[in-house]
Amino acid sequence: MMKDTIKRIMDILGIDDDVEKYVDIYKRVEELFKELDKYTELDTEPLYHPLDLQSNLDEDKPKDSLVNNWPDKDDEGYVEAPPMRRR
Amino acid sequence: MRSIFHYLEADDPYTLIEEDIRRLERADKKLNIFITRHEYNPIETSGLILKPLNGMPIPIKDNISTKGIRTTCGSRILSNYIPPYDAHTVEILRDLGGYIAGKTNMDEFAMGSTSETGFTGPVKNPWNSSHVAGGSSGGSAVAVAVAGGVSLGSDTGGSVRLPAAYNYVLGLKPTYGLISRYGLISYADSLEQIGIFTRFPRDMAYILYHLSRYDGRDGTMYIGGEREDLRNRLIDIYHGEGYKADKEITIGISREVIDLSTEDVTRNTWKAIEKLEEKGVRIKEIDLDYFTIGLPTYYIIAMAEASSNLMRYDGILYGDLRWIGDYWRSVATTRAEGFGEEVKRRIVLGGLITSSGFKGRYYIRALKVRRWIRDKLISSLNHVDAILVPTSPTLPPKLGELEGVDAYTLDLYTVIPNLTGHPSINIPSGFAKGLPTGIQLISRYFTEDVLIHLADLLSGDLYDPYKEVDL
Repeated sequence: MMKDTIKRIMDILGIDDDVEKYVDIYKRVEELFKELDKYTELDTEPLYHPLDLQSNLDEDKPKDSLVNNWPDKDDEGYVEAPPMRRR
Repeated sequence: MRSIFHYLEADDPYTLIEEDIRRLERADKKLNIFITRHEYNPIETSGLILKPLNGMPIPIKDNISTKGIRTTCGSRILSNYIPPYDAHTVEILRDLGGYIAGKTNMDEFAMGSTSETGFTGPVKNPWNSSHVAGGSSGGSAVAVAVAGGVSLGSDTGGSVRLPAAYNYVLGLKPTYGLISRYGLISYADSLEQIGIFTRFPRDMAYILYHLSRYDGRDGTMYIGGEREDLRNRLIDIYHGEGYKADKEITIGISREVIDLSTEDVTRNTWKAIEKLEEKGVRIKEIDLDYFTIGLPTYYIIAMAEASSNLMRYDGILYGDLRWIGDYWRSVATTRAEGFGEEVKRRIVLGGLITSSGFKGRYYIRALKVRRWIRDKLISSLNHVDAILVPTSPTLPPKLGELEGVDAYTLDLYTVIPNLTGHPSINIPSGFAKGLPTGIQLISRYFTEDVLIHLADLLSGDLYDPYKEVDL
């Protein structure tokens, strides 16, 4: 299961290497990362940036002009694009 | 040992320049300091004479852009990249009359704590060349250890302070947003800052004053008035008027946190604390339990940001393309041949922990813990002026002794200020078994003057800034 997930991530990221190696590394760092399990109840907002910078970008909104003729739109106006990478 | 003020006040700067260039060349042959040396050219240098720094050679870490000088980030994938522009910090140093002496060796894309993963081989420790120089800014730290003056590095999780400790020099990571990151080739935007190596506290004040000029090209620079207030205080320090304290300085320590180090490091840390007490600094025991959770929090965030940042190296946007007739196979081959092991490791793990199914468990949780750590540190610094911990939990390891994940523990003490954006400095604390040790001081946002003042208090007493490396 983990091997498949890592293989899929490696495909998406374009990293061509031995998958087993990364599974072993993941198992090792997972021991370190598991220390955060003690903090599951923490009631704080995520801190993305030390100075609490806010994003000044507009919210994503579909632009009708670009998707007018798209055959399958969902209720909010988004479209499903074909996969970027050949499977 | 050369101070910046030797150059500022030099009658014959050419002699100083040639001596320092020769010393750096000699050290490079032995210790592998540079990835690219900018060959000394007296005609080019003559244009710099009569500017304040009089042509002083300044080594720059190889992930800081230098117009016309190759900038590889220690990676094969960028081995032919020559930036068309200077980083903000490099522009300032050139304007001041600094001579870019070369691009210093480092861990590939600044991912590492030992300066062993760059594509040109490891940087060696000048005090014992069978040990590491620390990383990731190892080459810049060694350059100042052997020739004095100033060099630039970058600090994402301790990459300035750790090599500073391993090389017996001062290393400052400033407050996030104080120095422009324009031209710094990014690995983890929310954690990294350009940092400074010097031997002398006054040199640090002088360079920090100049590098902290506002630059609108970096959208994460801090805009508030604290910047100019700090810069005014730095002027007093580098003019020799010293730090103007309105009350005695109090430093917070935690016995439990110091005891996480080896015996050699712990001993020298207590020596430093005693010296500070002798100088009239008040020492107060405080709770620093949050230091132990910094490491996993840091590595999750750093890997996530690295995975996103390094996707631009596909051979088309950036990097040398290995074209084999098909786009995706070409990208995979470019990355397989261009990136080293540690970089690929962080890209894959970063991709994994931000993917659906893992994001909530790791990345979001780490960001929540990050805020908790920041709030705790701010709270600690409401009661003391600075916090003192060792910089590294161990002496510099032997070359090849720690590999990959094993080396992550070297960052135990240094990652906290990167997560929170606070300023921190390494001050040499002595030697053990012939190898240097250092203490790290962390202070409130935009109070780098306090850190430099504390370095000044210990200079010539706890550590000797003139101590020469035997080449």
